[in-house]
Amino acid sequence: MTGILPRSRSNIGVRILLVGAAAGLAVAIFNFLWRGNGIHGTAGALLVVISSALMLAASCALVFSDRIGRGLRGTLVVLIALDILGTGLAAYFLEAAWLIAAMAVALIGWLVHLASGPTSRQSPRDSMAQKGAE
Amino acid sequence: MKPPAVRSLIGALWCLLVASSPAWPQDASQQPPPGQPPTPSEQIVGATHYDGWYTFNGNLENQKYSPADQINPQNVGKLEKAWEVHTGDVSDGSGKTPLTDWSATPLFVNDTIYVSTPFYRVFALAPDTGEVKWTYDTHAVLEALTQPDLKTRGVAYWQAAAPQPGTPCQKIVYVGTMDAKLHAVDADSGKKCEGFANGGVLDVNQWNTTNNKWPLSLLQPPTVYKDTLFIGWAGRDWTDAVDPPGTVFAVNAQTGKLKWVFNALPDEVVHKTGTSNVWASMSLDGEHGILYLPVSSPSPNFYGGDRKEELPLATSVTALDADTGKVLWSRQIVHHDLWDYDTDSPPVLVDINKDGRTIPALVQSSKMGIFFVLNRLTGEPVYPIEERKVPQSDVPGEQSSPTQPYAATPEPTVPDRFPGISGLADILSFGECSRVMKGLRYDGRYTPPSLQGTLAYPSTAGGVEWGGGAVDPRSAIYVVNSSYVAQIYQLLERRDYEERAKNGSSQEYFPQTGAPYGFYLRTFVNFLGMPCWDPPYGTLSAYDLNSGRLLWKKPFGEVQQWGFYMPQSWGSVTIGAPLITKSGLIFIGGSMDARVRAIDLKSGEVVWQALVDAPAVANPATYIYKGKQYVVFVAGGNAILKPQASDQVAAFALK
Repeated sequence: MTGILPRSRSNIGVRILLVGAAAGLAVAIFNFLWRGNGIHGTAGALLVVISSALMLAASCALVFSDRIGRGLRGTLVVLIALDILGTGLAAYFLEAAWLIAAMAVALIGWLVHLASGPTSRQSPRDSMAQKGAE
Repeated sequence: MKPPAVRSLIGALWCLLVASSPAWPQDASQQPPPGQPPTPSEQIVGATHYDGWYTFNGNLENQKYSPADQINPQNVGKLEKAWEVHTGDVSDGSGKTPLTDWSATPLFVNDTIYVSTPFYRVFALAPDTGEVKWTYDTHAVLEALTQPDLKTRGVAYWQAAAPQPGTPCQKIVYVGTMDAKLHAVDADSGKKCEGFANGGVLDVNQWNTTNNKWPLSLLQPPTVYKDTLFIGWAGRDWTDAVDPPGTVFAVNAQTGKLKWVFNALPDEVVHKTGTSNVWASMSLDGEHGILYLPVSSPSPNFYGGDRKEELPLATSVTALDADTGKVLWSRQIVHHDLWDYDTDSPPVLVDINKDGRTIPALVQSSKMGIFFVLNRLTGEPVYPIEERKVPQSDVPGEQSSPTQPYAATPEPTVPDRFPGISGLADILSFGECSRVMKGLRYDGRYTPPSLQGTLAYPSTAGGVEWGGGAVDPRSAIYVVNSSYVAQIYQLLERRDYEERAKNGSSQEYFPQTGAPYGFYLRTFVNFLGMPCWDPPYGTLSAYDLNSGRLLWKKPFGEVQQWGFYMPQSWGSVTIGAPLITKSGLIFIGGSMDARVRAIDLKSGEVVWQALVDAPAVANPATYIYKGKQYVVFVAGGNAILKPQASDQVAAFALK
């Protein structure tokens, strides 16, 4: 990743987001499969597996794709935010504390990403293009 | 813990958006502190103390109280699972075997845990490890012959006054089956007691000779007093107008020989009604030799036009001479029952201090959430019972009672008025709840079933269910869990019934064959399955029986749907009962969320909880063994709460 992405706050934010999403997916899968938690095998537990997986996929898209335009990237950022909030809320009602923690991490990553300036939020392609122009 | 209002709103939105015997001393380490007063149970068996849980309700007085105090509010947080056992006797109903509802109170007696399973096997377990000592299989037919699911509420235990070592069947465990076979099993070896009845099995169905339509199901263990077993039975509800009439059989504990029979219905009416049976447990005052029966409602349950005669023992608490079966007194708690408000739990017997006098009292809880506190020797009210005018039936042929008994003290746990339509459920169902409500008849408590449809609140689902309450006999503090369920009752003329039932669910249509009306019953929920009425749906309450005052009342448990837990302020529909320990703790399962809890008796606050494999609807038990206190729960589930069954017995103790 470091070879692809410029070292920016956005980069750090996306990495944190990725970590949160991956942790969330792991926890959600564990919760769905492990019998001793009161929610295993339930529709709610399955839902957060799916939402965490989608979050991870979207985060990966942010990190790895150098071909997406600003519009799509912006859409992804919004959808990820909704995913984080929705999964976090679901985790709250599932009383799944570790999943809430994972979503908190993802939210921090998302906020860091958002707080970074528009220049640093640009895609690797934009960034490289910019470098080329220089 | 959670902001209730916000949580309520966003929670539901999100969910929807995203889709007598054995009280004899055992070993010195178990001796109670000197000077501890004996309980009535101890007086019954002549023992100096008890530290076990030797009947369904802990003792014959149905107090569900233990003098054990090792686990207390200060250290209960350190409670951990000591052992667990999976019996293997569980069915989710997806195959040929019906769903299992497991509500067996585990008994601790004879240094052993005894528990029956919904496959009608008995397990004898080591109390400190859960190791299986022996099992006994009745080889019962695993069919839902009367009840929709396979059920058992446990075993009973009897012991000879002076057991002879080496002689079998001096200590006997009894287990009943859905087809009315009562098996007697040697408590030490697990072998059948051949001297009991017919080769160790008493066929109670041999006495099912009037209006025989289905077998008498022995789901509730017998009550044991001296050398007598008192046997009630369960039947099939709501299918027929004329059913086997309610009976209780007293038999010899060693031989199975019939001693006497109690009939709840007068002979002259049994050809046109039935039931008024005793399907819940019983309680017993050993000092006075009085047996107390919670007598259920007569058939057909929702139409009484063909049984207008006085049925004074129907839906009553009735006191019998335990030796003869003679009725000493009876108090009807619902006249001409049209709501299936069975008296469904045994009265709690306790002495209370009122106006400077000690009164031998009993507390009869009810599906209506009303508590009747009576002098248990006379049946007279300790706190006033008035006859209140109630709404009248407008169904052709029906003649409802103009009044019903009502006790304002202690405060009924279910309010007199329907709490109102849940705004959230209404909005999310686009007004379905309020639309349905507009079409229903509702005039308060005891609004009779009608042709247009009646809102029944409380309904047959309770109020207080079969577990009843628990009491600390030292302070006369009474604790009880209660549900708040609104249902829709509708009588349907026979032709309409046939038409609608053809395409309807068998869970909602009940023929009442032989009556002019069939019956439609469903819980008042919207198309999303959300209750259409305002929470709470379940509470736990504590009362001071000496004053009749409500001490506290808290939402109890959590509703769980699709894995999501709803706000704690909603509480959960609850089945099963609490127990109280001398140290001031309440232990209870009973909620939809499959958690078992310890609650501070003084404050009502939850001080410990643990997750088990399914709702622990069985009454819990506690005991001391080798100096250590255990609390044991059977987590078997109950379809009324949610479709989650298990075969787990879990015991908890301090580290």
